[in-house]
Amino acid sequence: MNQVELCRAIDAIATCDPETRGYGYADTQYAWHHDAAIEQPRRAFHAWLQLLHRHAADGAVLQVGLDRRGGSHLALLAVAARVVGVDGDGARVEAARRLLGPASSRSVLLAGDPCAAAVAANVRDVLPVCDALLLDGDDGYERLRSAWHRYAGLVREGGLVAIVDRCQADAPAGRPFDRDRFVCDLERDFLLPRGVRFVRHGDAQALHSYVQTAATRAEVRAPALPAGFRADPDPEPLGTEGPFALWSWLGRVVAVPAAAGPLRARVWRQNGYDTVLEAADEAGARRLAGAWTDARPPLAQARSLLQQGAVEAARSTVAAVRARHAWLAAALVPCLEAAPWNRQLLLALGTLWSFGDAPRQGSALLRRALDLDMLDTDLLRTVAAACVHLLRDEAEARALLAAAKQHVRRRKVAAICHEELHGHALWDYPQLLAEVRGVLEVGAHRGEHVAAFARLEFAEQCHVEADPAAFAALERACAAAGSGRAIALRCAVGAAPRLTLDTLVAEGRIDAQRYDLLVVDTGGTELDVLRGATALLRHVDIVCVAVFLEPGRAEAPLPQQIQAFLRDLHGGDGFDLRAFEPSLDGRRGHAIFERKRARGSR
Amino acid sequence: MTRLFLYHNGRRGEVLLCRALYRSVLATGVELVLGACRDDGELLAGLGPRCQVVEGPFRNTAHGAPLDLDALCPPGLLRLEVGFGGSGAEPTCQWPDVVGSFERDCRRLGIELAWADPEQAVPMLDFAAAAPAVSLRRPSIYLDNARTACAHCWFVYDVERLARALPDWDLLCTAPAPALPSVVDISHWSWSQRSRASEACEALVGTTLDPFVCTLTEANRWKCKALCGYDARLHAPFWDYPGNPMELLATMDELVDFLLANVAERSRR
Repeated sequence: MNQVELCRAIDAIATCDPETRGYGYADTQYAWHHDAAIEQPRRAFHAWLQLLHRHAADGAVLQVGLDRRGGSHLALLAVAARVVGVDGDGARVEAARRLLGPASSRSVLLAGDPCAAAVAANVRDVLPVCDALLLDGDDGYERLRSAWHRYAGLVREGGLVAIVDRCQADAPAGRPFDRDRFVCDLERDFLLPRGVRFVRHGDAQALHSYVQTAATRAEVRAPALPAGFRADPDPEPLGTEGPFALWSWLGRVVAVPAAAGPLRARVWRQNGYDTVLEAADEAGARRLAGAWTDARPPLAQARSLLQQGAVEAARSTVAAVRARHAWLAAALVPCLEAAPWNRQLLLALGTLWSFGDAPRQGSALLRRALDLDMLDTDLLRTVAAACVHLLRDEAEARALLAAAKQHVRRRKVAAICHEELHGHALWDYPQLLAEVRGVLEVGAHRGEHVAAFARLEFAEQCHVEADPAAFAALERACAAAGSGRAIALRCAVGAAPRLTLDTLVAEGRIDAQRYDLLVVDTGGTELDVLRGATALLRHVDIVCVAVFLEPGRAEAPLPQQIQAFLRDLHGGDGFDLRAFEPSLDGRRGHAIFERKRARGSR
Repeated sequence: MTRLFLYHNGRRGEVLLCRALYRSVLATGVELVLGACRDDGELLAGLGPRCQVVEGPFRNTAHGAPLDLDALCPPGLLRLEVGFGGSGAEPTCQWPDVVGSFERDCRRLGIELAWADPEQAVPMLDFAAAAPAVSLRRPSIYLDNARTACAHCWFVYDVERLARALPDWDLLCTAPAPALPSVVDISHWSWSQRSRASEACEALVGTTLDPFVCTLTEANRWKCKALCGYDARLHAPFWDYPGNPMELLATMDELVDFLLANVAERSRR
């Protein structure tokens, strides 16, 4: 398996079943919707798996700490012959078992606290020696230190020891002594004296690994605890209040749904709680939890009334809530500051303010809740109704509906690209295709992509092909396209003085206004084609160009030449490289460029 | 007279970075109303009588404003969200790009600004001029060890090692650090106090734009400074200017060498 094949295989695991496995990687998540299939940063994990492939291909890996659904375990199985996973969270072990199906000798999952002596003994029975150790999880300094001490000695000489550290990405909940500090201390006090260094993959979310040597294996001794070390404070239970469990943690009292189990900082950060309330003390938290439980149903009813146009009824419903709990809105402000993407908080405070003295800010909060799920049609209607009835702003309501329509289109294109289309780099970038209206393909060959463009409902397709043998098939493909208008032109285009795309535009054979995606795959003359299309490119937003990487293709332009040409086009306002996808054999690939746009905002 | 409502929905450091732009826009004769999170007004204070700041109900968070500050716009004003320049996935955070993208946005609204001096030196962000100067007990180094939600924020400071290597200096740490005699915990100080404290330090060490941006003052323009956790082959320092002494450092070894060479050795000479 080469590097490209390995990355593709891991990407396939990360994207194959969003409904049950989550989607993507830790660093490809929205801050408000953390549901990764593989809870590792993509590039760092790929790089580390390549290292694993070099040092321990077809070997045995011990994974301490599973991710939420077992995606990393599955990815390790793509490289290793055997993977043993151990985690103290029974729910994670069960989720991984469901994902992996029937137990096999290749994959062993053990439930139990990895730092407990009995569990460690069990692990050693199952896997006395391994080729790689991956220490993952949310444990802080002292538990990571304990896990490293228990398991690092199992790795054979020449094998890999790796530590996953995402604590710096968890800035708000930063612990005084965390995993990053252990990595630093371990390197300084244990590895460097033995002539070994960590290799770091990634930034704020990182994998650190070192190669086991005779010296590091001979005496696995944990570094001394740093001066002034304090153990991580655990949340202390304070009982329940209605449906909420109350926890004292880091000088405040936090209420989360009792059914969600113990308070976990990572779940909070990943917006995993239905509701999170916080107050300075227990009495305040109990009072807030009680008021919330009382206010939530009538506030939901008010939104429903607003959606139906019963504005006055909605207003009086909210007024009744405010009369009972006049302090509630002010008390929810710090809760939302601590959990800025919590949908229930956004809805409640948005409703209270929309019918109070800050309708514009209330409406903005409801809009933010809608941004979390633009497919929530009930909320979409509610927010539109708030714009019309409370803000008297019909233009805003229209803009909202247009944004929702665009979102639906993006989802549809993404679903088609992921589930139905294969074999072209463009299908990996549905976000670039969602707003395409028409495609101009130069070097269309037999029309292999015509049906796909039609499936994506592009209104216009124009395909240019010089080879008479292929052209007949291209015409048939265009005739059968089924959706939108598809035309085929038989001609060879390049740079002047040959026939150029700009000439075809000037002659009226191509209407440049209709096409915002240009695809060029002409077997080595791509740069000539682009040089002959400088006028046409003013109308284009996306360019996809085939590039050749094999040394023997002297006539083909270097990828850098294409990139430089498109970047410097139109006085420097040309195109930025957005993606490069090599083929599996590494001999060619596709480069995708997007028109430069001024950044108005983050 | 043109009146504009400007805002940035980013973190505090990014809001502070907007200050230079706001000052230049005011110099063109435009009146400004600025949207900000609660308590961020201190970052935008002192911009003059033609500038009004409207604070929202929420405090800023590690991920930026919880409420789109556009909602604070008074009726009838033209509004613009400020960007930090460039056309790539990440803003460039360079002064000429910030001005360029703002000019483009203004043109889209039909506004042509008459910049006082388009070739002016890259401005600094003196926002704490009114705050009292901070006096330090010993020669000090400003150490921005606070974590942020930025992907570049990964560097781990070995504060004990720094303290050993620089026994004659205090380390002003912006996040809690090991209790050592030479460590001064300034994590509870306001940004104005930190900014003034940085001006009294002999060297500035940071990790990410936010919050290191509060050291970008005129007094610190030529001061010895470094950003840690960056590979100079891959990144340019933010808010760059001719003669910028900022060094990009990747490891603790480099940081110790940098401080020994630029602070300890220099003071011996």
